[in-house]
Amino acid sequence: MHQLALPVLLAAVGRTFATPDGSREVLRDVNLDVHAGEVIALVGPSGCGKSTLLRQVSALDTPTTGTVAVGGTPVTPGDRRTAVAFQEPRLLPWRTLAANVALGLPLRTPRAQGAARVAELLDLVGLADSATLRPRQVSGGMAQRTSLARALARDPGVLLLDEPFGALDALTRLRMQDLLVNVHETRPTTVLLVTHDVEEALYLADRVVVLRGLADPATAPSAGSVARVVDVPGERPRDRADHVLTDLRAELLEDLGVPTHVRP
Amino acid sequence: MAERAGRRGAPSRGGRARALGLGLVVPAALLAVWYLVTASGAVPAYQLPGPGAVWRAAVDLAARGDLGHHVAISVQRVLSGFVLGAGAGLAVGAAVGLSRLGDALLSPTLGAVRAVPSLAWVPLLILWLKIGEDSKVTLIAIGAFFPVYTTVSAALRHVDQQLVEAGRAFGRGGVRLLATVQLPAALPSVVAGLRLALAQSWLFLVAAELIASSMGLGFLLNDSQQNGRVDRILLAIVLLAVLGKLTDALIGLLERRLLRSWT
Repeated sequence: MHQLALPVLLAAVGRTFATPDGSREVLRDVNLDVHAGEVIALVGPSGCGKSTLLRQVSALDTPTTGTVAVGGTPVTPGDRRTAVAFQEPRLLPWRTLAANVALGLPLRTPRAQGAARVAELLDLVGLADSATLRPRQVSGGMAQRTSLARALARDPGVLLLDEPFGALDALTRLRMQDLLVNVHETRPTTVLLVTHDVEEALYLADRVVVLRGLADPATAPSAGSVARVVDVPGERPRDRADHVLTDLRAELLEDLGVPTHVRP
Repeated sequence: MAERAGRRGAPSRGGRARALGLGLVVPAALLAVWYLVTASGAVPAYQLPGPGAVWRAAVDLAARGDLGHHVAISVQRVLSGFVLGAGAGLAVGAAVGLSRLGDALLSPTLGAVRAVPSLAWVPLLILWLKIGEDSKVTLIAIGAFFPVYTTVSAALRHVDQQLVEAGRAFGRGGVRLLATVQLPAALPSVVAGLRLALAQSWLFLVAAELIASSMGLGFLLNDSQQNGRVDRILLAIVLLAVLGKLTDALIGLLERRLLRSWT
């Protein structure tokens, strides 16, 4: 039943929204070749289209121009090969955590097999004892872990994470990052992770893709959305205090317009 | 959360008995006042007969077999009208709440139809369907339709779009999405709508039976008014109160079962 990690190919992807004040271009000419099993972090200033880019891959939205292909074929709505964990947990409040995870199972999974898989995933995210609780009875961190388990239940070739740890407290966030490293090691899958946390990107990703805001006056009128792609050295799990990473972090923050120190 | 659940969600056995007991305090007091003002002669019996007289009227009617008949036919009319009206309300409410086309097409017209006072339908229904069961059941169905239609369409329209999107992201669409996300999300409102519809059904029953019928509690009211039988009028009112409360309690039971996972 294992689905292998799948490559993602974004070719000249652009997205323009029609608004009452005219059209608003959010993404322009995004080209990205993600290898199977690779972890990609998407960072950029708010409004730069990180989440929109992720929505193109999950087929919850359709690009205005260009194409998105997973494993060589275009993505379709509700694509069996991809799974999303949203910024908010988005759990069904009337279902138990276990039943919420079961929502992620591929349709027509045999009942017994599905139940076993849900139990296994709850165990993986450390919620085995909370299976029968309802979303309102658990903390934000537990809800996010449930949301991650639900995405994993799909056994996706490509896992799409939209700032899934953004709303969590700092310590819970670090634990969730380690959990993700652990999950990726046990069951390699391609990961596209949207984050506003540069440290998180450097800790988790093989490559960090920096997007630029098209509305920013400093952006050249013809420039594409991808400002640069940074290869992150070293194998996971990484040392959070590694000086190579801290140097990269300063460099990336500068790219995002936030110098780490005040210049004289 | 635990204290809230204790207060509203699932009361303990003792708590429920206590609530039942407290709920009976006011009816018992009313009965006592009724008895006192009639037995003391403060109010003449031809205006307000005492509880004993009403009870005797009930026994008398029951002995002739009329009471059971009136009650049975009224309950039957309410239930058939309610089922038909609520069913249609669910279907049309879903069409309007889920589809933009259905909304644009149907809601202006239904809004106008809803504005028609219930009694305005009676002459038309009698002309079309004659003074039989059909015209009464149809009137009750009209009464039951609107509360369900209104609550269901509004609830489905306001289902959290983030949850709907999550459902779609995990491959649910169409009927499957409705069953997994939209209907459960709207369930509390649906049940509230059904409750309102049932109350409305009793209202429309009396309207239908007052105007044209030879059986039922509404007929008993009308007939007793013409014969000056205040005891029977009071009896019919008490029966309507009891039956209305009983059927409402049935929906309450259904509500508790359906919404168990919500609390």
